[in-house]
Amino acid sequence: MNEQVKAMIAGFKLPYETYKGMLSEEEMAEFTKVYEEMLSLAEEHDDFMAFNDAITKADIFNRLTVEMGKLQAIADAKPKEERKPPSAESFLNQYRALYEQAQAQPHVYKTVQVYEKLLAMGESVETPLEIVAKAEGENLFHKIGSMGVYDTYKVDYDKTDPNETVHRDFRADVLKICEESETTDELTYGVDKRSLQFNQETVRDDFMVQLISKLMGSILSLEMSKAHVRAGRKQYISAVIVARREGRNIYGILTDEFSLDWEKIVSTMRYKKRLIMQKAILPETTRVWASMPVENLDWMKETLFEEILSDLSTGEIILRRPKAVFHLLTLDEHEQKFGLAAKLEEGAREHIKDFYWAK
Amino acid sequence: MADLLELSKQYHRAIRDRMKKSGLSPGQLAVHERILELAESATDVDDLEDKKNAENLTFLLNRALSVDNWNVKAMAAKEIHDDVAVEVFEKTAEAAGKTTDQQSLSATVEEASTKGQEKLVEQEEIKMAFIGAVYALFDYRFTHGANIEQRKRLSADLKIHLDKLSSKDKKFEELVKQALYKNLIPFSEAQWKQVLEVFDEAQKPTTDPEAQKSLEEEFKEVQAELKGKGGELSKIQKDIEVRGTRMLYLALAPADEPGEYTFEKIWEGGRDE
Repeated sequence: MNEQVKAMIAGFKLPYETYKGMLSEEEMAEFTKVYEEMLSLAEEHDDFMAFNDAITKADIFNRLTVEMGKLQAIADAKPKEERKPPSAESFLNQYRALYEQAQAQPHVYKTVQVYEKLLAMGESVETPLEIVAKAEGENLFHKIGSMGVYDTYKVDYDKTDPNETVHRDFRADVLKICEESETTDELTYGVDKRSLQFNQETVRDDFMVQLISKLMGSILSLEMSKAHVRAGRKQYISAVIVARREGRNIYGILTDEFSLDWEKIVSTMRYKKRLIMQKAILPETTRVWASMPVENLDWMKETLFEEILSDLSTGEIILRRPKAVFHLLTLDEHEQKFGLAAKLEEGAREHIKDFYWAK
Repeated sequence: MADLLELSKQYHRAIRDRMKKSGLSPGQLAVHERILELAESATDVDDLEDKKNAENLTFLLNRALSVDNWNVKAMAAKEIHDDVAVEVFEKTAEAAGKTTDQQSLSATVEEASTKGQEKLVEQEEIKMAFIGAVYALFDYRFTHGANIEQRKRLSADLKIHLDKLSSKDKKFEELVKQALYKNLIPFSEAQWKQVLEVFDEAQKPTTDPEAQKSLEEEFKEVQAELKGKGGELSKIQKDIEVRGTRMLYLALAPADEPGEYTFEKIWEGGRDE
């Protein structure tokens, strides 16, 4: 059966199993009829859209909702002594439904393991209370929740570029909190605190990234202004002087106030990435990205040290023959003309194809 | 047949022990302890259920669950000095704690958290305006004193952010003293001082006369240096353009640990492509 179809059905299996444990077959008859009609449609339609169309036409959701309302009314009207005590099996069936729902979702490995442990406790017990006490002894009800959070963050962690350390460390810490927490409040406190810290770290790191981008902006302005001057547009001499001075100011701030020199910038991979990243390629992962010519790092370094920071006069830097030159970036028109977007995506997909989350 | 009363005790004891250890769920802990007290004198599990119902313990447990949860959220917010969030979460916990039945608990928490959410959204707007103002001031610091166009742009940008703060009855000069806001930017005390030093000037930008004079002098020097070298300059630029190409790379991250990227050339063409 299609996974999405399975997930949709599992959503109704839970109330079905719950009421089955509380009410008689006769009382359940109408609900069961609609529920089984839904199961037949699921067997007939393996495609999710086709299944969705079929159950919409048969008005299954509304009919199930109405029947559930009736079942609840029947259950509420019963005096205490007439209420059917749920069996261990019917109690576990509720969790079986949730287990199947979890199984139908991608990458919910740890949560599924907790459900399996819980369901295994059903063997050789007679009452729900025995299962509840045993499960609580092993803290399984909390683990269902905490491992749900774990599974969500684990796949995010694995999709994140390992060099994006601010994001990756945050996710790694949340995974640890999920594994170590023993109560819901411990989990909430730990995850909330780390999330708030992460928000601050992100803003602080963005500031550094922006500052590094501004250095890159000055280097580029200098290059363009020099080109104008060399082409005879002398009024751009001022722009050369200003770009050089501002580049010097920014680099001075980076080194003197943030202890971040060129070597440190290019050896901190997430900063290096920001210097040359052109754009993201796949929405699901930061592991692959489009880069400007990587040779431009040599040009940036040479411009910074041989021109911006050097003792040469401004006239001398305009007259200088550089070893490394600036290689242009591709633009939208090149992407269209040479099919570059498709080439990038193809290369990116090929690179990630062996990761479990990309299969 | 299993001893249901004993199983019930086991269940509550397991929860009580974990809550005692964590210390983060005092309300729930008190209810579980009370249930265990009642279980001592209960004859069977039905009797315990009756005793619990007589003291409305199922509701009290739900209420404690809500109160404890909002309180730990407040504790987390306290760690980063987020006073607004602390107040929002503490007030929600307080409102939840005053309810007397399940219906009012749900309604009260929904109302308080919705109101609180509005405050938190407003605070995010304040934070964004504060950060925007800092960026404008910081950029002002390293902008060339004769670059009046850029100074004016930064000043206009600063005004937008200060106006936003003002519309929320906030002053930049006050926020800059608060740990929550200061921690958003990786500045030392000296850097904050430097940012504040340009605060007044950045709101009325002018050309720095010394910087202007120096720029004009240097301009003349460069002009003199380049005089009669038009051919050479044009040759240099041509050489740069001949050597430069246009390229696109695919960058691939390392598999598990931080490390160097791998670059694959996707396309290369001429500059005029």
